[in-house]
Amino acid sequence: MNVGIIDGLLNALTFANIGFAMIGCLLGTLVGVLPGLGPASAMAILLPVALYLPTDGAVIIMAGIYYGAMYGGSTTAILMNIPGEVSSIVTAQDGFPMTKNGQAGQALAIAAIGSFLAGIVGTLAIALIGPQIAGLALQFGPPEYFGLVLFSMTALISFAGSSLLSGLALGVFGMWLATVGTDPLTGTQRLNFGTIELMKGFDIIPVLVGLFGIAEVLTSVDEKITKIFTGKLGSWWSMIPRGAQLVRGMFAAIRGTVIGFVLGLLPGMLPALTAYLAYDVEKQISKTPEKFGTGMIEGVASPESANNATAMAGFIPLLALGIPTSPALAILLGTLLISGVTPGPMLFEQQPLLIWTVIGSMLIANTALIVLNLPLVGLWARICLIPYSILGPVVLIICVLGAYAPRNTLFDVWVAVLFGIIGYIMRRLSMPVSTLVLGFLLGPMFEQALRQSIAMTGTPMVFIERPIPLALVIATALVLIVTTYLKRRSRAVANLIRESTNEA
Amino acid sequence: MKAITWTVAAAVGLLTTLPTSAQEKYPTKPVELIVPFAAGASTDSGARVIAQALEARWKVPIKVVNKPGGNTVPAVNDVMTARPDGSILLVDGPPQSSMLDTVVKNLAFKVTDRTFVAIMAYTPMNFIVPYDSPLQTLRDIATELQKNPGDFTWTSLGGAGAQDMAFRQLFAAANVDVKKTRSVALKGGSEAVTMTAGGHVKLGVGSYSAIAAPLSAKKLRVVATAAPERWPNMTEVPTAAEAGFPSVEVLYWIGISGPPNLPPHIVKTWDEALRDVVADKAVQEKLLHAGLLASYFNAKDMAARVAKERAETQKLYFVQ
Repeated sequence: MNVGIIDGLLNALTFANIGFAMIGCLLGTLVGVLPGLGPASAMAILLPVALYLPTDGAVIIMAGIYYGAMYGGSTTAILMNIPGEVSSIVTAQDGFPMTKNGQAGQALAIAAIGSFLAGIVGTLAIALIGPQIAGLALQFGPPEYFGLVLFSMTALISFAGSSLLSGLALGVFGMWLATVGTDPLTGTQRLNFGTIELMKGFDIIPVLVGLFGIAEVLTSVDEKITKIFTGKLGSWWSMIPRGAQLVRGMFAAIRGTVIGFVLGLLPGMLPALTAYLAYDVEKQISKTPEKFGTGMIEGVASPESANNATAMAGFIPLLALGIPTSPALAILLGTLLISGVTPGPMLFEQQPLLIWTVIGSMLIANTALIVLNLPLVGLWARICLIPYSILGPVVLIICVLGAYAPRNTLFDVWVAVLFGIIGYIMRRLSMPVSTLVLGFLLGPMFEQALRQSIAMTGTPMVFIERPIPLALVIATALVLIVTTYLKRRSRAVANLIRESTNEA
Repeated sequence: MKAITWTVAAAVGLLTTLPTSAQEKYPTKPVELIVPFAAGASTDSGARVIAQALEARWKVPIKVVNKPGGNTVPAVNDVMTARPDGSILLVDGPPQSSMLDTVVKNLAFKVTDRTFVAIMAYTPMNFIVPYDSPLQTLRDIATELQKNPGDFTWTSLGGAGAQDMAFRQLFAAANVDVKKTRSVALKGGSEAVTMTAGGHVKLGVGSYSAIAAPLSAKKLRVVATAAPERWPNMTEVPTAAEAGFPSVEVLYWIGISGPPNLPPHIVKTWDEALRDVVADKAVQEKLLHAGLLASYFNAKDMAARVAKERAETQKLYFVQ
C-alpha cells in the first residue's frame, strides 16, 4: 500500500474533517484573542471535547485550535498593544504603530497572510523532509542551548538600545525576575519571602499584560489620547496590502518562515525568540532600520510568520520522535496517546493514512484560518476608531481577565498592575521594555543550560570543546565587538539605533 | 487564620453529620479535580480519562483544572483549604503526598491530614540508556557506578520525586554514595528522556508514556522496569528484581484525595465509582494508552502506601 499526501488530503477533505478544522481554527482564534489564553490553555480547555472524537478528528481539531490561537494572539497585539500570547510581543512592536497610523487593516491582513505562508511552507517541509531531520532535536544538549541563548540574548540586546550597559542591566533584571519561585531544577525555593503565591514565580502573561497593555492605557491617559487613530479608515478592500507594500511584506514573511522553521526544530525553542530574531534580521538588512518601531510592514510580517513556522516545525520532533517542543504540543501528544497513537518513526509505516490526513488537514486548517480571518480584518480594524474613554476601560478589563486566566489566581492580577506601573515608568524614561521581557523569557533557559552543562562535565571548557557552542560563543564575541565599535565610531549609527528602539 | 479554619471545619463537620436527603445525592454540582501539573503529562491524561468516565456515570461536569508549579504546594494547599463538600478534590500522587514534606520544609499543612479516597492507576519507572550505550544490564550499570562514580551522569529532577527515588534506590543497592555521582538536574520527565536519547547522560529514568516514542525510534533502550511485574507493552524488559535488584521498585501512582474531614458518604460515592470505572475494559485501555496501568486501592491501602513511601523517602534522603 502506498499512501501519500494525496490520500491524506482527500481524507482530510471529508465534510467532517473540514468541519473540525474550521471549528478548531474558529475556537482557537476566539480564545487566542483573549490575552492569557494562549494555544496551550485553549487546547487544555477543549481537550475533553476532542477526546470524544475519532482520532483523526481529534488531532485535526486540536491542530486547528493551535494555529487559531497562535494567530488570534496577534490581533490584540496589533490593535491594542496587548500581546495575546508571548510570541505576539514582537508583532506589537510595529503592529500597534501601524494601527496608530490608520493601517490596522494592513497589519492584520499581513499577519494573516504571513501566518498562512508559514503554515503552508511549514506543512510542505514536514511532508517532504520531516522524518530525515527529526534527529536534530536530539543533537542539541545543554551546552548547545547555552551557546544559542547566549548568542541570541547578546545580539538582541546589543542592537536594542543606545547603551549596551543599560540594555544588559535591563536584561539581567528580567532574568532576576524569572528566578523568583521554585528552582526548576532542584525544587529549592528562591526569593519567595515566605509567601505561597511567590512559590509559583511570576507567570509571563501577567507580566506582559502589565508591561504592554496596562502601561499603554496609562500612557494614553497621560497623553490625553481621544482615539488610537483619529483619521478615517477606508473600505475593507483598501485595507488589504498591495503593490510594493505587499511585496515587502511577502519577502519579510518568507525570511521569517525560514528562520522560524529551522530554529523551531529544537525542543524548548520559544516562538517568541524566533520572532525576535526574525524581526532583528529584518531590521539589520533594511535600508531604513530607523523606521522600525514606527509601523513597518516587515516588522509585522516577519515575526508573525516566524512564530507560526516555529509552531509548524515543532510537529516534526513530535511526530517522528514523540518529543514535544512546547506545552501546546505536549497536550497534542497527550491527545494522540489517549487516542491510542504512539508517535515515532513507525507511525509513518503503521498508520500512514492517519499521518497524511493530519498533514493534509494542516493545509486545510491554514486555509480555513485565512478564509475566516481576512474578511474580519475590516471589522477588527474599526476598534481603533472607538473613543478612548470607552476603549481604555475595556482594555483594562481584558488585561485583568488575561492576567487571571492562565493560573486562576488573583495574585497574578496584582502582578499585572505592578508591571503596568513599571512599564509606564520605563516608557517615560525611554527604556526599552522588550529587553526586560527578553531577559525574563530567556533567563530560565540560560540558567538551566549553564547549570546542566557544568553538571554534565564539571568544567566550563565544554563550551569551547564542542563545535556548535564554540561557534556560537565566537559569534557572540563578534557581535559585541562589532556593535561596540560601530556605536563608538559613528554617532549617526548610535542615533539611528536609539531612535528605532524606544517605540516598543 | 488557623482558628478560623478550625471553626469552619468544625461547623462544616457539624453540618455533615446531619443526614439529609440532599447529601445522599452527591454529586449534584460540578466537581473540580485539581491536577498540580501541566496539561498533557501522565497524571493529567489519567485524570482526564477518569473524569470522562465519571461524567458519563454521574451526569455532572467533572472539570480537570491544572495548577502547575511550586513543587505542587500551591495546588495541594488550595485543596487542603477548600470546603470539604466534594466540589474540589486533588488528583494525588507521590510528589504531592509521600514525598512532599521531604522536598518542601515548613509546609502550611500536614501531608497526612488530607482525606485519602482511592488509587486508580500506576506507572512504573524504567531505567533507560542511549541506544548505543555499552551498558546492557542493571549489573553493568552498578559495576560502572562503583568503578567511576564521578563520571556517571544521570537525570535528576531535583528534590524527591519518583525519578530520583529510582536512582537513589539503585545507588543504595549498588553501595554507591549518591553525592559522589554526577547528577544533571532537569526540569521534567520528558526532558530527561530527550537528554538520554541524545546521549548527553549515561542513565535516565522515564515512565512508559515518555519513553514509548524514542524507544520505537531506536534512540534508547530500556534496561529494567522498577516494578513488581513486566510492563504489558515491553514484556522483553526484565523487572529490577529479575535483574538482581529486588530493593529497586518505584511505582508512580495516581489517585484521588480530598480536603481534611471529607464526609464519609462522599468518600464512599467516589470509592465505589472509581472501583467500577477502573474495572471497565474501555477505561483500562485508555489508561494504558496514557501509559498507566489501571489498579484500584481503597482509602486504607492508599494511606498505608503513602505512609510506607514517606518513610522510605525520608530514609533515602536523610540517612545516607
